[in-house]
Amino acid sequence: MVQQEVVVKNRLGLHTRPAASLVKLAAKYKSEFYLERDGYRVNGKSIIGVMTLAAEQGSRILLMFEGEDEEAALTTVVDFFDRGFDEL
Amino acid sequence: MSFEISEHSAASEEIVLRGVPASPGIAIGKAVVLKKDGIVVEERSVDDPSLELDRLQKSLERSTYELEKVYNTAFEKIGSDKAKIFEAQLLMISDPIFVDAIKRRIVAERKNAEFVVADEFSRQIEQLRKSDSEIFKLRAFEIEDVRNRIIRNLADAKLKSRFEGTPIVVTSELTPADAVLLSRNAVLGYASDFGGARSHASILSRSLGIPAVVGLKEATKHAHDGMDLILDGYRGVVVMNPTGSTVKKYSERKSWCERLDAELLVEANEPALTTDGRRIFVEANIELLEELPLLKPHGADGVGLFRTETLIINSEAIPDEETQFEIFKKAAEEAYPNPVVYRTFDIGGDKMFVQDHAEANPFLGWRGIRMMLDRPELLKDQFRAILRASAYGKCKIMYPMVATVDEVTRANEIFDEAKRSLDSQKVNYDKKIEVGVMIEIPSAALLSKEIARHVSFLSIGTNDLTQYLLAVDRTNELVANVYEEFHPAVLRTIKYIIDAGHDAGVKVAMCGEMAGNPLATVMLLGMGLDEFSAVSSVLPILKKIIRDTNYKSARKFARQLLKIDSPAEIKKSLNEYLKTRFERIYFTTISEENLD
Repeated sequence: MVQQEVVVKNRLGLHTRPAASLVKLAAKYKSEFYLERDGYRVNGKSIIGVMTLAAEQGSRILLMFEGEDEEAALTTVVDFFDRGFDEL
Repeated sequence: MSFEISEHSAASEEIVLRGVPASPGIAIGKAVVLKKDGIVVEERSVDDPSLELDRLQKSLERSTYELEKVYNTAFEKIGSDKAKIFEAQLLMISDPIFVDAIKRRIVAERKNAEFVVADEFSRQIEQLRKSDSEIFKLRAFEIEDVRNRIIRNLADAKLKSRFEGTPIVVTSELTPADAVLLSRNAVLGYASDFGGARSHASILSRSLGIPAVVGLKEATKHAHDGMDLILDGYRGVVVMNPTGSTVKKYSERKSWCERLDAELLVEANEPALTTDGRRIFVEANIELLEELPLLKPHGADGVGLFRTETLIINSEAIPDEETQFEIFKKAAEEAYPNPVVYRTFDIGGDKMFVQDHAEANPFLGWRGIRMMLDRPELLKDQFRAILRASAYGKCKIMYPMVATVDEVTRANEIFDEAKRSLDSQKVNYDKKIEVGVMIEIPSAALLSKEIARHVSFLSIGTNDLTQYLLAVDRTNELVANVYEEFHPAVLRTIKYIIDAGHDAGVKVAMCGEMAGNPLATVMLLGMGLDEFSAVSSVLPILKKIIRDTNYKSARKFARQLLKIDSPAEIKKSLNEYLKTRFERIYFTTISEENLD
C-alpha cells in the first residue's frame, strides 16, 4: 500500500465537478483507492463518497492506494490535487 | 420528489385561492397534480432478493433515461453550465461502489429495495449536512433529488412528464428540473404552493409565456387530477371547481385580456413619450440571461437592474472575474444599443450568504455594499468584469444598500483602482461608464443630494425603502399587513429623492416593485421620475400609460396625492384614476371585478 497527504488548493474545494473528474481518473487504475479526512474514510471510486468528504479549500486529505498499479495511480492523483483540480 | 396522484376526493364547491402572480395570462383547463412531499418508505422483509435487485435495476435504468432527457433539454434551453448539475446526478446514479453496496445489502439483509436505497442515501446526505460549508450543505439537496428519483421509479409511479391533453400543473414547488421538463409539454399554466415571483421557475414560465401563480399555500391540498381549474396569472388567483358562470366570466376576461396584450405588444416598441413630449425610459429588471430575449418584444429601453447575485446562487460560490465577464458581455451585447445597469452583488438580508454566519437581524446586517467594501478584492473583480464588458455594449454600475456618502466615495476609489489596473494591462473599456447608487435606506434618502454629487444617477429601491422606513420586515407574515408601499411617508420620501437628484443634476430611476405597479405609474411620472425598471412583462403596460398621459396633469395629480395622509385614501385615488383613464389595464391587472 502507498499513501500520501495532499491539500485541497482551489477556492471552491472538492466540489461536484472535480469530484466527478477524480472518480473518472481513479477508474483508470486497478488499485483500490481511499481518501481520508479527519478520520472519515471514503472510497475514491464513488462520486457520492467523494462528495461527502465536503473537502473545502485548505482541507488535508490522506490518499491511499493498494494494488498492482498503486504507484502510478498515486502519482496521477497527487498531481491532480497539486494542480488544484485545474481550477487555479 | 415523488409524483403521485392526489387522493383527495372531489369537492364540488368552488374554491378561490390567492397567491402571487408570477407570469401573466389566464388559463382555463383541467388540473394535473404533482405531489412531491412526504415520501414514505416502508421497511419490508422479502423472500426473494433477486426480485428486488431486478426492480432496482429497472429503476436505475428508468432514472438514467429520465435524467438524460432532463440533461439534454437543460443543455439546449439553459446552456451547458447549468446542465452540469444534472450531469453530476447521472454520475451518482451510475456510481458503481454505491450501487454495489445497495445490492449487497438487499441480498444480505433481505430487505426491499426502497428501504435500502433510502437508508444508504440518508447516511450520505446526513454526512454532507454536517459540513460547515454552505456550498457542501447545498449539495445534499442534489443527492436527495437523486434518491427521490430512484425511489419514485421503484414505486413504479409513472413520471407525469408527458400529459394527456393540455393541463394546468399544480405542484408544491416547481424545481428548475421540473420547469424544464414541463416546458417540453403543452402546459396551460402552473400553480404552486410555495415560491415567489422571482424564483427560477417563475422566471422560466415568464420566458416561456406560460401563465403562473405561485405561493398559493394550499393548492395541492385542494386540487386533484382532472379537476376543473382557472388560473389568473395577472392577479394571482386560482379558482377550483368553477361554476358555469365563473367559467363564462373568465372566458370573457381571457379573451379581452389577450386582445389587450396583443395590442400593447404591437406598440411596445414605440418610445414612452408623454402627450406633451416628456421622454421616459422604461427598462427591465433581470437576473438570468434567459430573460434577455424578452427585452425587445416587450419594448425595454435596456436593463435598469441586473441582479448579479443570482450568479452566486447558480454557481455555488462567487464566480471569478472571467465568468462574470462572459455573462455581463452577453447581456451588454444583447441589450445594445440600450444600456444595462449591473448592480454589484447584493448578498445578505434574505438574498443568500457567503459566509456561514447567522445574524440576528440580517436585513440590518452585513449585506450589499457594506459586505463588498469589507471584501474589496471581490468588488474589484466585479468592477473589472463589468468594465471589460463595457467594451461590448453600454454598461452602467450601481451600488446597493448604501447608507452613507463615505461608502460611495470608498466604492468609487476601488472602481478607479479597477480602471487603472485595466489601463496598465491595456484592456479596453468604456471610459465614460456611468456609476449610480440605489437609494433604499432612509439615511441615503435624506442624503440623496450629497450622494448624487459623487455619481451619475440614482435608482430608488422601493421594497427595502418601505420596510426600513416603516420598520416592517416584509418577509414576516405577522406584520405583512403593515408593509405599505403607498404609505404617505414612503411617497414623500420618493418625491424627496427625485427632487434632490434633479437638484444635483442627475437622473432618477426606480427599480423596486412600485415601478412595475400600473397603479403607481402616473403618480411616479408626476413626481418627476425619469426611468422605470420592472419585470419585462409589465413594460408594455407602463409604456401605454405614459404615452397616453400629459406630464403637466400628472404633476398636478402627484401634488394632490402627496397631500393625503392616509394610505387607504391614496390607494383609493390611484384606483379611481386608473379605472377612469385606463379601464382595460385596470381590469386586467388590478381589479378583482370583471369588466362587463
